[in-house]
Amino acid sequence: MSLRVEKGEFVSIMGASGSGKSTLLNILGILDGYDSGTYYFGESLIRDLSEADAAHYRNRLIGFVFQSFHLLNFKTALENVALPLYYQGVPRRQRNEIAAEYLGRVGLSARADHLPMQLSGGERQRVAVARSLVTKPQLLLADEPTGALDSKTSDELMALFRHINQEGLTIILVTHERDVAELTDRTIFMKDGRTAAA
Amino acid sequence: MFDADAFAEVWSTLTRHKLRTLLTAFSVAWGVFMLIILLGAGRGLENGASDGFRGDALNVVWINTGTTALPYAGQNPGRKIKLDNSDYIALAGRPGLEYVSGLLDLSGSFMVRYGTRRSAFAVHGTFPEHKYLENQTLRQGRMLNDGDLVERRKVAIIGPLVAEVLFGKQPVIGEYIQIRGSNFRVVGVYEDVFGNEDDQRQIFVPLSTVQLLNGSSAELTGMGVTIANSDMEVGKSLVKTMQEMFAEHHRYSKDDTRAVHFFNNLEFYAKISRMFVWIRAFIWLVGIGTLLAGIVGVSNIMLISVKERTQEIGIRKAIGATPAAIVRMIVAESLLITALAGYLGLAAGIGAISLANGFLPPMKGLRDPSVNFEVALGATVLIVIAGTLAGLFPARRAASTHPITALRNE
Repeated sequence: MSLRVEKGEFVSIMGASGSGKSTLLNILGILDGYDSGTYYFGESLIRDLSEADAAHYRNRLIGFVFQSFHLLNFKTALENVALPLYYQGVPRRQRNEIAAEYLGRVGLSARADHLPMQLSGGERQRVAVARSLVTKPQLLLADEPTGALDSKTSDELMALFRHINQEGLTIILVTHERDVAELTDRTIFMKDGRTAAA
Repeated sequence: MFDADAFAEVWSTLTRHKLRTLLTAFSVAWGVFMLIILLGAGRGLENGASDGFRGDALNVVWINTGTTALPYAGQNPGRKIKLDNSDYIALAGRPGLEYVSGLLDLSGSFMVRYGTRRSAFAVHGTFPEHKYLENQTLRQGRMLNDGDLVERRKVAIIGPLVAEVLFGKQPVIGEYIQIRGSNFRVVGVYEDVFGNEDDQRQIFVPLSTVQLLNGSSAELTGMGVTIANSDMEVGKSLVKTMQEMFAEHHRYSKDDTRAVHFFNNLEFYAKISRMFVWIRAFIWLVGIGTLLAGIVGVSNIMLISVKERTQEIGIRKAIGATPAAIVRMIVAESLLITALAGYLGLAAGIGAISLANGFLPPMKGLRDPSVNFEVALGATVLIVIAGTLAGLFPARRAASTHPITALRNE
């Protein structure tokens, strides 16, 4: 398959279970390697990276939003958002300031000291979005981000994504909900590991 | 390279899993506690044992009469060998020897009386030099002197327990006690700080006086000498020379060790010291074994913890934690638990030992159980190394987990 996503695009990937969309997202997110072909991130060829290099790329270039949020339950919203900065070696005070700023952007300043369990699903996902943005990545990857949310909060989340996209961030989103896919600029359909016509 | 930030990160993880942290910490603290207690008790035993030696001069050799065990020059074994003044004369002034004393025990059963009070005590005729052999010091009055011996005075030096039993709180010096019907004037009370209870209840009188009471005999029941040179080999060869001298003089086989008994205190001391080296090694072995069990416990629990936190580790990796960062995190957790718990165990152990020192009644063979600073430091270093090792194995497993697998783990 061949796929090119331009800087600043807001793209969705759709497909049945087992169509390979998650595998594609993992490769794009440098969570997984690939056997053949090439993957360019901007100018850089992403291939056979060491674990440390892959971690470095994930940290600096890519933000992740997952279906089940994947927040650390024993850390507050603020600490969760600040965590990627910890792995960049940003000092505690500074990273908490930055994290607070990003929590503000997703409208959760008041919830900064809450643990994930004390937050609603929509709030948790917004914390996850704030965490994915805190390192100022060049690409946001969202794996079924609305999968665990009701339609109202889904809409709110998609509006947030749209807003972020308008600030210039490239977003690739995997979903199996047509409503969600329609809120993106372009939808790529996948079947048996290949892109398919709509 | 202490990193306050990393510490805070680790600390927050540990405090959020209180029970697990507590259980892990306990096993390590217990291991260290046991190690310290064992080492302290071992030191106490060692002190106690060396006190036993301080009752006598370390370089003393006791010579006692015995019975031949080997035939010699046509004579059957079973012959009693008797020592007498000629043996004393042979050894007195001999090069290599420091003090020489002869001993004649007053045998038979009799009571020592003072007024209406009476009790049985061991009475020995000795030379003034005897006090050096038994490490006796003077409490009051005076010790035996050469004049007592020459003039065959009926004077006695009594032990602290004798004074207590016969005199209670009354004055002792100048009083007369009755030994086998003869009156002896008490001229001194000795002190034998490190001696056992028997050492406190002896009565010493001039040897010549006892020999006179025995019917002008020249008999000795034993002798004691101290060796001038503290070197073990010198002492051994000197004892061998004396053994050969005695064998020739009393006509028994040179290989017969039972005809006359030679007890070389220094040699015995060296034997006991060697034994304590082994005991110490054994204690370390047991203590480190206990500690090791604690460390394996930590490693085990960290392994479970890592398994339990697979998803957490996946998340951390997804947002940019390098494998090295994961290893550092787990090792730091392990290290923090072991170091803190180890320190607590160390403090508790040292506390328990000083408590025992303060409250336990004095016991024979045990004195001042203690742990010195170097040992405590060594144990601490051991804990830190062990903590690192305990964390390393689970940490490497955690670091090698693939982020996708980890994230899928719900």
